[in-house]
Amino acid sequence: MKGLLRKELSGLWSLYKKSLPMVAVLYAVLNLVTRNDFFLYFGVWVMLFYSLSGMSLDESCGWGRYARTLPVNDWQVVGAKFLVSLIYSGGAVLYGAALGVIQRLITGEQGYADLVGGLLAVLVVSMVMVFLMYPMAFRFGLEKARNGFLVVWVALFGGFMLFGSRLEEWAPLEDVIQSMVLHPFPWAGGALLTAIAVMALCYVSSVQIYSKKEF
Amino acid sequence: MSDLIAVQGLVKRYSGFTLDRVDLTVPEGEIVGLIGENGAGKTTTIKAVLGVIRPDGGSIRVMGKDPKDRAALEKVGVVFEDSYFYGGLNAHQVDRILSGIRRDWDSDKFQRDCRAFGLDMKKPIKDFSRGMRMKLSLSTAMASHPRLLVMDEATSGLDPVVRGEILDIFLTFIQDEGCGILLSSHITTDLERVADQIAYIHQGRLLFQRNKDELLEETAVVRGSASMLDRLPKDLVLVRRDGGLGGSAALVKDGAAARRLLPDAVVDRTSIDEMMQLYGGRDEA
Repeated sequence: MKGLLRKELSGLWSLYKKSLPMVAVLYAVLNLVTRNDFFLYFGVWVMLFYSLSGMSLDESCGWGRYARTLPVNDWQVVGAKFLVSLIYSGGAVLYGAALGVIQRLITGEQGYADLVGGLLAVLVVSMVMVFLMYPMAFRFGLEKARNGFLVVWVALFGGFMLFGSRLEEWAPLEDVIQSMVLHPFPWAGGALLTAIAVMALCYVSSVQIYSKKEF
Repeated sequence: MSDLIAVQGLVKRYSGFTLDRVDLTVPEGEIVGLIGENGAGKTTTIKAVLGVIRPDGGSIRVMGKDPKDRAALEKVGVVFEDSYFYGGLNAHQVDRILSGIRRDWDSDKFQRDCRAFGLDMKKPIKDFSRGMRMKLSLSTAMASHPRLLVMDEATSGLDPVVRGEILDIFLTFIQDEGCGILLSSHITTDLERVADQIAYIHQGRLLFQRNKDELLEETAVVRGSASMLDRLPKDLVLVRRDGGLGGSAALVKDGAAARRLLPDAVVDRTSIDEMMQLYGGRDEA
């Protein structure tokens, strides 16, 4: 497992060693200049999607075929990918939190709860998106999985644009939003648990898909 | 002497191609050369042996174990046609990665072999030539002290000097007790040089697996007119090709017997290349 993790991390670092520091600096500067936490949140999303690129590296060099000849099982091969996504997202959340705190210390602004809530929300959404993509990427390849996911998101976004105004007036949703405002921590905890459950389900289904795959 | 690889009745079906009841063995202390035209089923056979694909029938044992049991592959070194590490990595990183995967990974040996091959440990794999990538793959396969090497087209696309170096390594490797090699190639001169046995796959079927020296000693090509070749007994003829530029030709099991039967015919020793051409031509005729 240690070797698989090293392989994932070295591959991604070798791919992004030039762009990653630039992105990190750029988002830090933008956050400080605009005083907008959006760039910190966006960083979490970007990092999680960066971590998916390990799949395309494998596809490009035939790693899957070679991995089958190594004394490692399918749970470990797939697990290394999920673990790297967690490491990347964890790093991005810590980096975002540190930048957010620095920005608040410099400007004297408050809103630490907003920062934590925002990072948590984007972490949950990004985790769900990325971990849902893994089984699809193992089944159809990363490119098709990305395209498929894009179609789903465009459809969801389009639906929201069309019917969003009706949703705003929908009483049950108003109640939910109200409850979220009044009890943020149970909601945040629940969302995080949901993301972890999605991750676990996606992990199991990815292993099942991967174990049936032929290279 | 036991078999490092024992394949019996291996079947794998794809749309448009079937690997049909292949039997293959790799005994200890021997190099088995797997030959066949492009698309004949060599790579499919190797993939099945390594557990990369699931067979539709038959049984496979690698050192007595099912290759689906990954522990069976602990003592197997594998070289595919090209590198399988992302091109941005270097040999030093490959060393660190595999030391965390293979329990018996010998980092010193890997670095020694890389140095002996003249590989720069810090240079990205994508900047290596094909020959260098193959040398890296071979160093990778050897660094866990395998008992069995399985190589798919390991020497194809390499210049004769590099191929010679690699073949020498195979011959040194096989000196160790209990080791064996399965080597697929369509460069038959390489196999004539190092292989102990030749297994020939043609259109998904194993035509034969025979001791190479016996094969080349006993098998012969008889050339002559079609009517002359008609006089050869059917059980002597392995394959026959009529109507080529040089008249008709027949590959026979026993060259000496053919000489006795047809004293006027030209009976030549054959090469693996020529055998493949005759078998390949059978389907065109």
